[in-house]
Amino acid sequence: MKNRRNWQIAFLKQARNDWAAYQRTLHSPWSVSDRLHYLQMTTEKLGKALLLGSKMDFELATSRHTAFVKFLRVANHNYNLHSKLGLTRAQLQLYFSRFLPIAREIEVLAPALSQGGPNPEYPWADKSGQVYVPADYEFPLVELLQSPWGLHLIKFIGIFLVDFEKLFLR
Amino acid sequence: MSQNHRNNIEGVVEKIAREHFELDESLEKIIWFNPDDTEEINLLEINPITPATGDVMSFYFPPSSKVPYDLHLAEVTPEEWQKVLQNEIPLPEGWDLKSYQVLSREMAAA
Repeated sequence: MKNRRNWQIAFLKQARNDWAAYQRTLHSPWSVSDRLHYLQMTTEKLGKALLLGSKMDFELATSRHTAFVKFLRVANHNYNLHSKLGLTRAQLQLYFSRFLPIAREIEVLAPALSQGGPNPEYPWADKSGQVYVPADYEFPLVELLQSPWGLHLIKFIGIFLVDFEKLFLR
Repeated sequence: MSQNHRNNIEGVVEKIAREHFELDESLEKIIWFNPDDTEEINLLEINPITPATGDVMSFYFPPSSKVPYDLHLAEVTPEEWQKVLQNEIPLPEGWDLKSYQVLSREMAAA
């Protein structure tokens, strides 16, 4: 029998590791694709750590790439988060509704979800056959992440990771 | 199970439902699984604007001063809910299709 808590903490630790790597990529000489790769991996593993706290089937929980957006849709119902941030539920709802399109763009960076299109890991081709290299590509998501809501989202991801035990564990 | 416990958890669920319906106009209904359980609250929200993922991703929120129970919360589309009812999409462990209560917007407002 699998110990879900051990697996949950393992995914959390790896998400924190990816987050630390993401922080390092904010400085040159790292490419934008490196930065987005680590950000996507952070949110994917954070999503899995969150799912493992629930009663979802283990294999399903650990194989999903889409947990982070789903989580943001219900996260405003976490009362511990209200206390931590000093925000009302309605205020949190506003934040999360603005985060969703940006989070979705992060989520679909996963090669499994990118449908043969832009992703930070593998080259891809457009319909005309032109081949793109992630390291050279100008990802439109970067601009979204630099918007006020993008910056808030990044801040929230940091809070989820740092305070995970207080916010999501009993 | 004491009637007191039962009333308490029912009151909390009603409060959660009311707030969720108030905050989200697109929320169609809330399914309360295992309503006889007095230790935890399992809610599945049916919402057409949630991304369809083909499964029931539930998230755990620990007890708080406002919701002093373990809260497990998930959201699916109406189409996914139909598939759950037809056993085509599995529910989280312990959520039982033989034991649930439907909370509607009208009920929550009443």
